[in-house]
Amino acid sequence: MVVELFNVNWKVAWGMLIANYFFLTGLSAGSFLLGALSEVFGQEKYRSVSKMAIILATILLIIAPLNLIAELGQTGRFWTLLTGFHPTSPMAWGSFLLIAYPLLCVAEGYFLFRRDNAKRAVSGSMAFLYRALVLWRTDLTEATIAFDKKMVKTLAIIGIPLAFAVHGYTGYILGVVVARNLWSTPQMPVLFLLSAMVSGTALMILIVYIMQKFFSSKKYADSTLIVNLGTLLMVFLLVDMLYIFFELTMRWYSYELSKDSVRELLFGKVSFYFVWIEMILGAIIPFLLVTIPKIRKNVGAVLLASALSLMGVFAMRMDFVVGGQFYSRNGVIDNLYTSFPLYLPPLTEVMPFAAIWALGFFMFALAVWTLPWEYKEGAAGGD
Amino acid sequence: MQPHLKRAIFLLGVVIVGFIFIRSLVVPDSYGQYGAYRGDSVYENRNFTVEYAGSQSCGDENCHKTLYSIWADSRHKTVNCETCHGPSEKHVSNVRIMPSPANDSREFCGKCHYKMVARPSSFPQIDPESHGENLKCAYCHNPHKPWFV
Ligand code: HEC
Ligand code: HEC
Ligand code: HEC
Repeated sequence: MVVELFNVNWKVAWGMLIANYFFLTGLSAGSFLLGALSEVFGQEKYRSVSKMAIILATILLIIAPLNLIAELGQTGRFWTLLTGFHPTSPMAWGSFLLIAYPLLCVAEGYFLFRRDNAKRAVSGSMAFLYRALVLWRTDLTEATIAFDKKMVKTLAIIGIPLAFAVHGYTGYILGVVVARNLWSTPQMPVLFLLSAMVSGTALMILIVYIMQKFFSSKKYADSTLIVNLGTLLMVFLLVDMLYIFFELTMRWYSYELSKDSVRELLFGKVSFYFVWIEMILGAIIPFLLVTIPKIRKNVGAVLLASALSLMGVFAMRMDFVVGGQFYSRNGVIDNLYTSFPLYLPPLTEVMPFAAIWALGFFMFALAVWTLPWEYKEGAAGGD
Repeated sequence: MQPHLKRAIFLLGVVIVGFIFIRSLVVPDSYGQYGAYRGDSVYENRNFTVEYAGSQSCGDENCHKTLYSIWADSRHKTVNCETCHGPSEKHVSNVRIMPSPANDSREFCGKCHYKMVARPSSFPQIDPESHGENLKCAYCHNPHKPWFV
């Protein structure tokens, strides 16, 4: 006998884990595209980050889908995503993108690190590991090395649209939800991609600084590289802010429902997070830090700007994913979230969140410990 | 072709073939028969025994006619009999089988009526601590016509 009634008190269906997933895929796509700057577009001044970029892109995209799996009510049935396929469902495409993209990253990493790995595979206590990493083929002739370079470039070219797709689709699945005012606009994928570039660059700055300063052989961070990356960060922040400006103002001219969503962002319940944390602390201040001529050459300023804009982009993911659920097409969901933090992630989300980040750090440590991530001056790419 | 590329492509091939192979094993046979779902699930659902008779059947001649008309006039008319009384199809097809008694606990009424911010403010809600002196709700309210105290 059924005496149990479903109680409709689940307030935020897509919580912190989904925001975290969006954040991680964004970081991954951003890192990948940053690496492609030198591999594909020949921007030599960013050559030294291309190895780190591929390490980050791979690891971030391996841990990102774990958020989705942890978020499922029936965690053990996630594999049905791969057995069922619905051609008009963006999520169904997403689950295949989420496999293709890390595979491509691994393949690119294979060719990028092959030369160093092959050298290390000859002797040493870890030689067996490197032999496995080069698939037991250690030929290092002129031809193979030139070939590896070509493969890296080809894979990076294929990877660019794939990186756009794998992160753009996260914005897409929000954009197709017609019932949510804030989400249902075709601009969503672009908005997510632009902030992905910001966060990818910001993370790269922090990682490059920390790794070079404390873990490299020279124990010294390349400040011109950091400042160059800071300039990139400036450009991305500018484009991102301009886009948000266009989005907000044009929606303000648009029909009433669309206008509502702007009103909610600027004056509504998420306004504190949107205006203060996302825009002022997370975009405008970092933008000034990397723009004002007197301080933009200062490594400390660039680092601070990176940390702030990373926080800003995470806030953006939270504002849009969680905040978007406060407002439906028929107006603000009354009565809900009147108290200050608006949304407190339940423990069932906080624990996987922490575990996923811990796993990410662990994998990163493992990767930089085994793989020759350091860029050696003078040696051509692929080294 | 470079030998190490051959290795990599071979590995990729193994992964892809393995994926396709495993997928072909685990995808249910009837998948895609009618659409992007398992076709058999249609039959499985059709073969479930009917447990609910529907409020209409309670109000038949010779049955709970009076109670039904009272209920149909009340503000609980949107709450079906079997929501509180449980599935009663067996009782309807054979009156000798009595359905188990309705859940009359405070918690049960509270599922819908306890105060909760997520509910529209126009929905009748009470504070479980202070309302009704901890007596069962039916002590004061008629569940079939709630305002008929
Ligand atoms: C809101 C929940 C609820 C709904 C809806 C409801 N009932 Fe009831 N019903 C109860 C409760 C609780 C009792 C026990 C009353 C009591 O203890 O005084 C009860 C008692 C009864 C009884 C009397 C049993 C007895 O032993 O005297 C009958 C008959 C009955 N309900 C039929 C119906 C019919 C028919 C409908 C639909 C038209 C219906 N009920 C809808 C909660 C409900
Ligand atoms: C399935 C959800 C549900 C359950 C269970 C339920 N009710 Fe209700 N109740 C409602 C709905 C719906 C209304 C009508 C609200 C309206 O008209 O806006 C209502 C109305 C009422 C009202 C009238 C309030 C008014 O202002 O007129 C009272 C009193 C009431 N219920 C008491 C009870 C009691 C006592 C029980 C337990 C036996 C109970 N309810 C169980 C859904 C439920
Ligand atoms: C001691 C008798 C008594 C008991 C027991 C009792 N109520 Fe009430 N209930 C009342 C009276 C009297 C009113 C009307 C005055 C009021 O609003 O407080 C009322 C009003 C209500 C209302 C309408 C409130 C509104 O704002 O429209 C609901 C809903 C309700 N009761 C549900 C319940 C539920 C659910 C229970 C069991 C958990 C319950 N009552 C137990 C006496 C009682």
